[in-house]
Amino acid sequence: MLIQKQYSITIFLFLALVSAAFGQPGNEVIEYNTFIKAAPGKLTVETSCLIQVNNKQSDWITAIEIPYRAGDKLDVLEATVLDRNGKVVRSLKKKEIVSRSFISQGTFFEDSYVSEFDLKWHEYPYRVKYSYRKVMDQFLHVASWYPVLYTNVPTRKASLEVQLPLDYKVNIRFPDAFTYKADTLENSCALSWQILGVEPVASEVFAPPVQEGIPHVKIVPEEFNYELKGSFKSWASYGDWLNRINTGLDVLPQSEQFVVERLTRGITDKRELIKILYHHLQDHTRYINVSIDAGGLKPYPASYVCTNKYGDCKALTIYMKALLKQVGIESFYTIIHADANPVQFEPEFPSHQFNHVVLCVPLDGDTLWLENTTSHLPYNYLGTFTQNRYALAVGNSGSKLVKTPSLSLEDVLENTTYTYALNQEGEGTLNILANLRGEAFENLRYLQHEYSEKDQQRAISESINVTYAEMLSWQINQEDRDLPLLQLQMALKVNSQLRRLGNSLVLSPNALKLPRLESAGSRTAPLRINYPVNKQDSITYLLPFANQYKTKLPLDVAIESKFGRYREQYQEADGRISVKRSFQLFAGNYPIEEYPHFYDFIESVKESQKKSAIVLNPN
Amino acid sequence: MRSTIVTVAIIFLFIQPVLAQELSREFGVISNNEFEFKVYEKDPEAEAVVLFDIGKSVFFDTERGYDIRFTRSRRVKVLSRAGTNQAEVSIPFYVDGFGKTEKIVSIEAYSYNFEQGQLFRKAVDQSAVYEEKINDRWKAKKFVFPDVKEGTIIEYKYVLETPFHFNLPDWQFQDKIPTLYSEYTANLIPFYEYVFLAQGISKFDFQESKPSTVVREFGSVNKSYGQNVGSGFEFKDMIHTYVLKDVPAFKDESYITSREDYLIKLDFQLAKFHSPRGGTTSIISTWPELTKELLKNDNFGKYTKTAERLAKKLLEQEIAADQANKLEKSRQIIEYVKNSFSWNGYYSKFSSKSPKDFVNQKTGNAADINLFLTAMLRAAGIDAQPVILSTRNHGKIKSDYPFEHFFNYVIVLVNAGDHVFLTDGTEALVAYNRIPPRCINERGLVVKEDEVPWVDLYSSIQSMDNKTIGLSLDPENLTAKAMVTVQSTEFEALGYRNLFKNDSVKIREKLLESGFSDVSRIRTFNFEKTSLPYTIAYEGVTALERIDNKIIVSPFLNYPIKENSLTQKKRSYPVDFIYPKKELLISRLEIPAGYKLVGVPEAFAVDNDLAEINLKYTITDNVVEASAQYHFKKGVYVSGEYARVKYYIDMIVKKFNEQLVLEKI
Repeated sequence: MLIQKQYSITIFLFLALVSAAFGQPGNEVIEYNTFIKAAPGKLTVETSCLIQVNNKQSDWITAIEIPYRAGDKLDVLEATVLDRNGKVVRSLKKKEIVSRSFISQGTFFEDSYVSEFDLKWHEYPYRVKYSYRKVMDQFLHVASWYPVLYTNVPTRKASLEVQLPLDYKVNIRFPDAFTYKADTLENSCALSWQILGVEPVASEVFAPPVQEGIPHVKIVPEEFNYELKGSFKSWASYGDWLNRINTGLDVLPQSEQFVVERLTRGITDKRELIKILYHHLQDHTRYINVSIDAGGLKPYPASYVCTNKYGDCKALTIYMKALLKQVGIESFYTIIHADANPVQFEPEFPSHQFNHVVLCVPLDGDTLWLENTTSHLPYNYLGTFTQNRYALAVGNSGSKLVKTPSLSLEDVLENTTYTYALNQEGEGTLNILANLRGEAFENLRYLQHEYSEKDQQRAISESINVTYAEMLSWQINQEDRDLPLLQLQMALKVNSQLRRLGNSLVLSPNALKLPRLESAGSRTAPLRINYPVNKQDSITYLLPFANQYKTKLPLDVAIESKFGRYREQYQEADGRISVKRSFQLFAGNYPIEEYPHFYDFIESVKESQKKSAIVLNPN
Repeated sequence: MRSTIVTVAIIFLFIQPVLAQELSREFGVISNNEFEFKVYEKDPEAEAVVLFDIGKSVFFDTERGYDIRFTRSRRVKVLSRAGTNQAEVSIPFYVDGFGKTEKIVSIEAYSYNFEQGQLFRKAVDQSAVYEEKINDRWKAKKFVFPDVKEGTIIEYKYVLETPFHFNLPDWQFQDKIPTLYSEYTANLIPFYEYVFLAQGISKFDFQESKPSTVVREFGSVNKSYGQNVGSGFEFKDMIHTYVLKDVPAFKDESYITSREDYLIKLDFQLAKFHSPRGGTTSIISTWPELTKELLKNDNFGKYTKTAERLAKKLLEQEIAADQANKLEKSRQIIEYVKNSFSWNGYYSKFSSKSPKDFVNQKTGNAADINLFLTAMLRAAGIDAQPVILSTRNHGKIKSDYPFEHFFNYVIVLVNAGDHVFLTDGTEALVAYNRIPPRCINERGLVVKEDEVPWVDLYSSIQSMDNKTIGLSLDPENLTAKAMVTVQSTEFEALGYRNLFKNDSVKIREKLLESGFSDVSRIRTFNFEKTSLPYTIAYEGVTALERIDNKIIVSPFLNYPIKENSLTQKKRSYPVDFIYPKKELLISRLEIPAGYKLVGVPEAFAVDNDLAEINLKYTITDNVVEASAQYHFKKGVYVSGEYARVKYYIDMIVKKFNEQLVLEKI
């Protein structure tokens, strides 16, 4: 019934050169202004935005979402659409604003919401203008303000104005990028920041998180009232507040005390005690985050975990602390910013720079670290998410900043052996034996622990860096749950592993997976490698027909640089060809000026891998 | 014979000491057997199993008449750590936004553990049952079971009351984990007559329909010597029970329309209302009836009528009046609607707001847009009809049953003189006379007076993706400069338009990712002219491989598919590619001076009813032209054709990636 027409295609069509419209952004934030009025126990934030939409592809930005928490009071003050002449062509009606729960990823429930509305128009360009007011009575920041709405949209002009009572003490951090002004009014002071032309930032490889690259203003009150009165005068004073809100939470119910007693009877070695109780936590609890009321900061008590056998990081840590306390071991509730690539910590600026909690246990001059939300990681293991950074250890008799241990090259070693047995057609078997530590260990261990067998198989098959391979069997071995080491064994059926070049055969060892880097010219961020990389591969080809050929091996390679090193070594004997390869990258922070050298290093590794083909010429 | 059976039974008992039928099916009643059950023999890898899932719907008296009370009790055994996520439960319920709402009136939930010879039971605290507001229409009750680990049994029971009679709560017998026992009971009263639709069920393990022993009353019943002298009367429920045992876990496969088409389930739809006061109203019994209802509906037929007046005004302002050609006029109107209104992402066959609000707000759901489009076409004197359909993710319609809820979307059938076509106003990047892939799902119903025509939604239009590559080799520097033109039509073009949004930064990024080291002169053609092929042209530099003094060239660069996405050995569902697709790769290169061609891969050809594959190399003087094409002739392949389709893709992966070898003379 439908009449359709097919288009015939002209090959090599270079007719009218109608270029796509490049240059002008599809949308832009013309003005973004925030006005904050702070007083003890009341924070009023008024935000107003003027956004221009230049084409239909970019009108996603007019779907406005305003987040708020259950206790906040939110009012949308204005929401209009302006046509290209600045004339108001549409005003939002109250009934068009809808709200829904906003539950962040990995959280089961929280009392957060978003108010949503849409401001669309059909003639471009057009502008949308909206403003809203949020009033909060509990807060730890007066402002944590970035002059952008979206990191991928340019902002033409942004300003922050903060009005404070004269006797209200705050600590402020901001960079020179802002034009700053301070005025004293009758009984308050008015501080203002302005910035023009903030360009979009894209995330780059081995770079700090994008928010570090955007200038921002942080203001914290010296004294605050969040559940209890507290102070940001020093890390010790903030720790003291945390200590007070945690008071009385680390008490085990009687029944759990019996369990501890049963588990630890006759054991006196402190390390052994810690291990037993940590295993008990891992084997009987799960991470579930329910964040309501002050739940963002105040932990549930240990008894909550005893009843439910689940909790968030705070509750599980309090519970672990209570278990240790029961056997007379002192430990410290330690708040930290968990992220494989965290925003740089500011030790000189006491404020809430954290999103996670671990437990720190000093023991005979040593320090043990317990991550209490993962039942798959070994005892005393802080992984890529919490290694090498500042954290605030909270104690009854004082709190202080501490530094977590960093992952060393040995800690992240991934040692993989590939053994191919091939016929002349390039068909055969491949056995892989990988001994994994570091990030690879963490990922595989998580998979093994939390995924069904089917999903494990799927994920492992997808991770193999070999083409034309079909998984026959696989197995994960862990010698000791307290060692950060996992062994993955795989048997695969392979084909097309040999390329034919005339009468010759070519073997191309699978390449290391290396990230694609921005060229030196287009890089905008400095270089940051949060933790080292250390890979050692040994590839062996068993070729029963090898005596019919003469093998031509590539030259050995050794590349050294301040960022890392790379080696390739080739050997041949009795129908057995072996390739040994190692790649190391050191952790570190480098200014952008050094980036070209890093780029050259990685490119030279890639380049040498392109020349790694092994040729078998007929005798 | 007899003795063999006995032996088998004994062995069976031996290896499986706990048989499913010995497990309790009563909420709150639990025995040792449930704890001894450690592995489900029929699916030993299962991380958890549903021990029972029992649902019941009954009609209960309210002030207004009857509401439905749905009670569900469900027990799950966690078999491994991966199964502990069963502890997190979310029960959605519907709020219609006009005052009617479903209610969850109670939730009871317990976890059971058996440790050191003792049974531990823990209840979910009522204060730990949270309510999530998913959107304006849906909310959910959420809770987490306490004390859940490997071996734990969890069970919950909830009661949901609903004033919506049109669909009785449906029943899904199948889950992502295996289900040992699933039972649904519907206690129906004589006033509401439902049609039952079973999917994926050849036979129930138990099925029964019998009258209840309980006598109910309608209106006032006054007994005098056993005779009712009141104005009301007595009646009995009819109890329908359905049971399935050992239902396997649902396995998702790639290239299917929707889980909804394959899940084992039972669906109920109100068919007739027999008034207690006498007389029968057919709710929906025929397609003409359904059509008539839609035309009368405020958010469908009436909406379109109302919208016509407004559309007429817009038409006068926005569209040139002098256009006499109906096809051209239709195109202008469709493009006007596409460019002036934004789709909010919601599927619907009913409008969500008044035409005035829609025009004012410039955004709406699929029905707001397409019904308005219908009105605007009509206002211009063009014959246009709404067509209701079920989108791919919503499952297939069952055309034997005229049920309105099978449909969740509406598009438009345009009759512009000689040209009859389907259109959809939600996607600016789809040509005016095409519908987006989500709508390609069997058949759609044209909603018009006095007629019930169906329209085929299958796409027989072939989508093409043609890549022309000109390579000039620089063997000294081991690089090749490629001049590439990618020209695509129909859905393939839509794919590129959506992927890149004509943004050269995104195009460059994608090319750099695919292995080019330097990309320049990116040009695109016809991005906005959606009826024409979309073309992307660029120049890029790519590396050549040198092995043993030979130069290796991949004539088709990185374009050929590298991996077969059909990985299963066997297939039970059809392979649904949505539309027929043809890809053509042509590459031309000059052999550089001082080099000769030593290795040319073999040609390859297949042509039959399913597919055509053609790979060939032509060498004239010092120019090599390689051409590779494949054409999957059908949009949908039945499962019996799976093995062949899989094999063809394997061959494409293997053959199209072969390389040319050059040697220094």
